[in-house]
Amino acid sequence: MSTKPHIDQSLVKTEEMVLNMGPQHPSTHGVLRLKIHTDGEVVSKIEPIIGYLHRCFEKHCEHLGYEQIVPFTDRCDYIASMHMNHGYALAMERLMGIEVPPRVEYIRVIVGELQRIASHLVALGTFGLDIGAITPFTWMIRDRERILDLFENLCGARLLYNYIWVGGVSHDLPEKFIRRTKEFIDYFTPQMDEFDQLLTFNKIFIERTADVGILPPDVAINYGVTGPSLRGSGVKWDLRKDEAYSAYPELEFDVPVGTGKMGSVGDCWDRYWVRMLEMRESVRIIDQALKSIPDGDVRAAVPKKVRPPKGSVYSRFETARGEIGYYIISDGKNIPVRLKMRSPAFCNLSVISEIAEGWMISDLIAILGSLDIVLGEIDR
Amino acid sequence: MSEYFANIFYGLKSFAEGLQLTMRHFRNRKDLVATLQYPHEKWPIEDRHIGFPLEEYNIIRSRLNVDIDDCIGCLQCERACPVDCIKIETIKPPKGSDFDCGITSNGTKMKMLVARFSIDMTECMFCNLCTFPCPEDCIYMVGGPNSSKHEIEYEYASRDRESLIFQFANPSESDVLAVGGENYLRAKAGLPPLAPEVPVKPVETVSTATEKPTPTAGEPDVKVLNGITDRMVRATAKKAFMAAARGGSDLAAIAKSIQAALEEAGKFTDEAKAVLDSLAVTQTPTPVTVNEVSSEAKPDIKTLNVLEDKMVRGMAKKIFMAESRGGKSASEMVDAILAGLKEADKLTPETEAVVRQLAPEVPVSTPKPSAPVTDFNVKVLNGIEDRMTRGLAKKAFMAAQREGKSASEIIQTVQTALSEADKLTDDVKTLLLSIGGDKA
Ligand code: SF4
Ligand code: SF4
Repeated sequence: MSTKPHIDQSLVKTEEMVLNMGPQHPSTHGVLRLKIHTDGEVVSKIEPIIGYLHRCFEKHCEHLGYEQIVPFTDRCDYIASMHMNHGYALAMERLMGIEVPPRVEYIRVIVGELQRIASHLVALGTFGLDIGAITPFTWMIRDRERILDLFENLCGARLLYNYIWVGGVSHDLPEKFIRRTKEFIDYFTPQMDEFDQLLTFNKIFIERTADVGILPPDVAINYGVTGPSLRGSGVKWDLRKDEAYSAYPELEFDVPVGTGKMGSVGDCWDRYWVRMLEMRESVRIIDQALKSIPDGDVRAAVPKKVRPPKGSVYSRFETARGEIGYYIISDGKNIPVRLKMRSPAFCNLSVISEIAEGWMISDLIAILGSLDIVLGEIDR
Repeated sequence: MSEYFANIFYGLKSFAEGLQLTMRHFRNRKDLVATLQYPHEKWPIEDRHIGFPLEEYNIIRSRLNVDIDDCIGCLQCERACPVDCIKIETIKPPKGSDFDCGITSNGTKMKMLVARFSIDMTECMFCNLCTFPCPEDCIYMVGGPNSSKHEIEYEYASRDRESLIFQFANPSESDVLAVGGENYLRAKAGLPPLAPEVPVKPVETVSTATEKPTPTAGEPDVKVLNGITDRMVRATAKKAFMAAARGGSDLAAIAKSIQAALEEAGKFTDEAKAVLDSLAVTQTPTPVTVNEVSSEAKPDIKTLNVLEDKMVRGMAKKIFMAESRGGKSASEMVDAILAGLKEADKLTPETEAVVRQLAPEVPVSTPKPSAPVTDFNVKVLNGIEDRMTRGLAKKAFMAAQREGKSASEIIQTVQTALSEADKLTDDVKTLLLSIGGDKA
């Protein structure tokens, strides 16, 4: 296209415009503010501004008993609270040298994978919603509801579970839990095909996400991106495999990575597709775990008083969003001296200024959605 | 042409129809209105409207409930709570008293009276941590597997915060008094605690009129009944005593009603009779003096309850509290209240009459316990920094105080105890010297 001849370009003054996206914006998945410098409709610079949900989690922990911290870890990543519980419990068990009964490990894997499905359903649903697909969102929330029902059946809570404790879990599985989980899996497997039909291979969706916001593997690694966002770039790194904990070594599953099926490796569609495949893997894991879950007392190894020896531990765990790390220093008392949490979503968000520059504002929404952030955990 | 008019007609008709419909809804027909005026109106809650049958849940995080009759006041739940929204206050019966705190349904004997048990559900985060350590299973989330103890509660939304602070313990005042919680009640009313009985009993100096100094001069004292050895009999007697005392009967009448109650229960033993006789005898000779002394010593805030106007009552009580904290005598107090009410233009003759009842005609200034002795309490040790040392020091202090030692002796004891435990640092020494110094 040629510019119209009667405008004298030298007389037109253009300048960058600064736009605030958020903190109250439906597509920021929480209270996040993005300061966007735009050149026309093209994003030239992004500054994420965080901290609106800061609750002093780490400092607060220095005043809480070790058992009392568990419900507060729930509130960090409220979309995948089980993982936060589990990550913390794992760190504490490593610090105290607790051997957890096999039944507990299996229960933890089952609820963990259910939680991963629930979390990915929210991530993918809102991702679709952000770029205009409303139906898949309602369908996915509908199916997530079934998982929440299962969790409520298990521990009485639907969102903030306080279920996985140091050394065990708070309740044994209810009588019909295993049967119901099986029912859920049987119900859910065909649903995933429907999601694929409805959203994954929808032409409009592919146009909006394929080849958009490409995250090269080296950039991802440099920024410390983890989880499905990293695997979307083709890096096969999953702590469940590479640093197998809990009952994962005994279970068979694959680690899906992005292959650039619709565009190039590491685009938004790849990140989406990895999550979709991960749900299938989760179903596989649950299926095996349900079959081979041993008997035992789930509270056998729960210490009466959680009082770790002097020392420190850093332990990482694969949540639905990536690698959560807990660094705990103990001086032998019943409260930690310091608790540091490495938040996966924080690192994943930090890469946005690198990959979203040069894209249009509407693409920025897609890129942000594909990173799947939870502000409760970024701000802590 | 005819089509033109038909269109106009059709337009008008549909307009009228629409209006008609609106009018029909206007007449507040409940069945046609979709909006529910929550919280005044609510949908009925079905028996089962979440995932699975209620009894199949491990637990449902709905609301906390406490079976206070089973609570032994062990404070485990309070300690487990990460947000400190459980507040428990207990009163331990003094040594030697045989106040019966009761037995839990697990058969555990309660050792104290739970005077306050409140849970602030606005602060609670439903983490469920408090329910696990309870040895009596008496704090629990309602519904689900606990449906038999308390039915499920889905919503307890309310318009004010107060009604979300659930008070589970509500002991009667007489129970609190019987267990020796006078100071607890005083603290609740904003009064300073009674001076410790050791080392000087201030009451003795006042009640010279009575031959035998009873702990609280002249007030009917349930402790007299402790002479009865049979537990059942004693309990019945005490119950009757409290009931009669609440009714404001004098001692003779109280004794009579106890006798009646015991006889009715077929428990009127010789021993009980002897005790009752002594009760009537010891107290009857000087009822007048006794009454004078007690009303003189303590103007009673309850007198003000007769005031009808809420505002006036509140104001009067406020001044009363302030004055009594300041240790003013009854007559000074009356003056202050009257002045305060007058200033606020609320002083009617009736009010004045009520207020004047606080002080008798001839005001006698109340003798106050000598200050240095009451000041010398265990709090002086709070200056010690180290927690272990402080605990040790306090323990020694209390023990010495119970034995009725003088201030300097107590300091001595504390010092010895600390040096034995090798905790007597210079700081502590200076602190002890400074208190010991000016009291000795
Ligand atoms: S449920 Fe948790 S927050 Fe609530 S009172 Fe119990 S311990 Fe405290
Ligand atoms: S743990 Fe149970 S018995 Fe102990 S104070 Fe709490 S409710 Fe009462």
